[in-house]
Amino acid sequence: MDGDRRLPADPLDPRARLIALLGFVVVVVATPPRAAWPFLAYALVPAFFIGYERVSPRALARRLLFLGPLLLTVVGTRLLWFLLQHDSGQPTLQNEVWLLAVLGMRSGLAVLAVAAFMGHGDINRLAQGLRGLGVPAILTGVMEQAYRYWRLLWRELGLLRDAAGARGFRPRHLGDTVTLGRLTGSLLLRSLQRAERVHHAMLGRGFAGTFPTSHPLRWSRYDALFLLPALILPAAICAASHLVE
Amino acid sequence: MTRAPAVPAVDISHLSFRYPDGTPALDDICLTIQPGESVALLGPNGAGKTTLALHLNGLLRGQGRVAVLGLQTVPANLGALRQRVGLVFQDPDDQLFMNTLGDDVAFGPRNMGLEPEEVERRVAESLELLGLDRLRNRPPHRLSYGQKRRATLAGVLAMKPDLLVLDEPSGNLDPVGRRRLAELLAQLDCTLLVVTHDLPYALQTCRRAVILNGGRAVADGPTTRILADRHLLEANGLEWPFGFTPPAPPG
Repeated sequence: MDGDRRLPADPLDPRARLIALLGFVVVVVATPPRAAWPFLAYALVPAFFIGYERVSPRALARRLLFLGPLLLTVVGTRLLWFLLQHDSGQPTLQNEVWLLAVLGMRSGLAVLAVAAFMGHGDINRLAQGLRGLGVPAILTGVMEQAYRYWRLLWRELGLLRDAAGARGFRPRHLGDTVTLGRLTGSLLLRSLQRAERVHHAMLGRGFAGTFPTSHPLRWSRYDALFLLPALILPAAICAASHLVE
Repeated sequence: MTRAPAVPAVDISHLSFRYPDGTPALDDICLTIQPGESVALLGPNGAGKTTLALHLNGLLRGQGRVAVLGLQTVPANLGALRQRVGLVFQDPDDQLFMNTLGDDVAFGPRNMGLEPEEVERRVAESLELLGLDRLRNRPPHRLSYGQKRRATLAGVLAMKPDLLVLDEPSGNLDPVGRRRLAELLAQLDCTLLVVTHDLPYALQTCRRAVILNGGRAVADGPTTRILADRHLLEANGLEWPFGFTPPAPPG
């Protein structure tokens, strides 16, 4: 079972992971959108780390799914804009498609970088790294709590769906939206009540606003070995793209 | 030479509490529990048992005086109090929320500011005591109900509490799980308060029982004597389960 698999201890300081991620995204965004090759070259960097970190294809696919709504929205709005502007003769369809492709490549690379550089995604380590980089503890606390509330909401949704399904509820037509609305309201109330009980249980075990971890922040040579390729390679590609121009 | 009396583990006097919507929950409760005692808090649903338990580490605060292990439940003492009072909640899903069982057990010791080595030692010790050491990296939602129950206890025992409060510990446990938990509780070296309406379990785990009904403490005495008084039980919404006959009280 997955849960029994012991993950190797993360030798990297979470600050190094965050710096690599931010640096990569900044470099990708700063690259002029004139040719596709720099973006394809950038993809090799997160691809290497994804392989090295053994991020499961399922986890990767799940993260890439976030791109779907974004791209759909962008395609829709750009298409509309193109149709409205077409009569003036300014933009061409080719330019529009290219801009969309660039946007897709940039956001895709950003998602890949999150999958690659943030490892197996321990939210507490991430928050610890953010605090180490100067983000106020109140913000990281909100982030950690929101993450837990999100998971709790999903769990309650599953219970509610099973309870409704077990008594034969299958939403089929418009009249069912009333029931769905009641279920949604019930979900919010139940999850809030449970969140309150969970918070009580946390307070009962001494919770004081932050999630302490057993791994203090400490720079090591592993961080240098990680940061060098993670930052230098994208910077080199960016520089080359400017030179080729 | 006279020996100084020990500070009571729990010293509650004239405690009353109403929920914000006005529902009365506790009414003038007085209760003293000495260190090392094991006490069952009995009562029907809605008697105020859980509400009283939540007062013991300051999660709720009513009118009256509550002192636990010599510390009053005032904001200045809450940090110290929560390190010494272990509260195991009725529903394990309320208590288990970290990504892995190991992290969840470590949550309390980390909040206590212990060194990582000490946290690790306590986590390993608690998991082994509860027979969960092989499940350390499993996410809590993949545990069985009985395992979750034990996991919540492991999370609290890792904090080495002086007072352990268990809310309906036998609920939904299979017979083997009940027996194992009772055996484990008998081994613990701390004051024990068991909130339950499971009379055989109260008899098995606690020498003293207090009945709570309608927010008031209506009876207090040896568990054998309380359970033998069928009329008292029935008057307070409790009854012997089918086939259960408590042993006659001594004398």
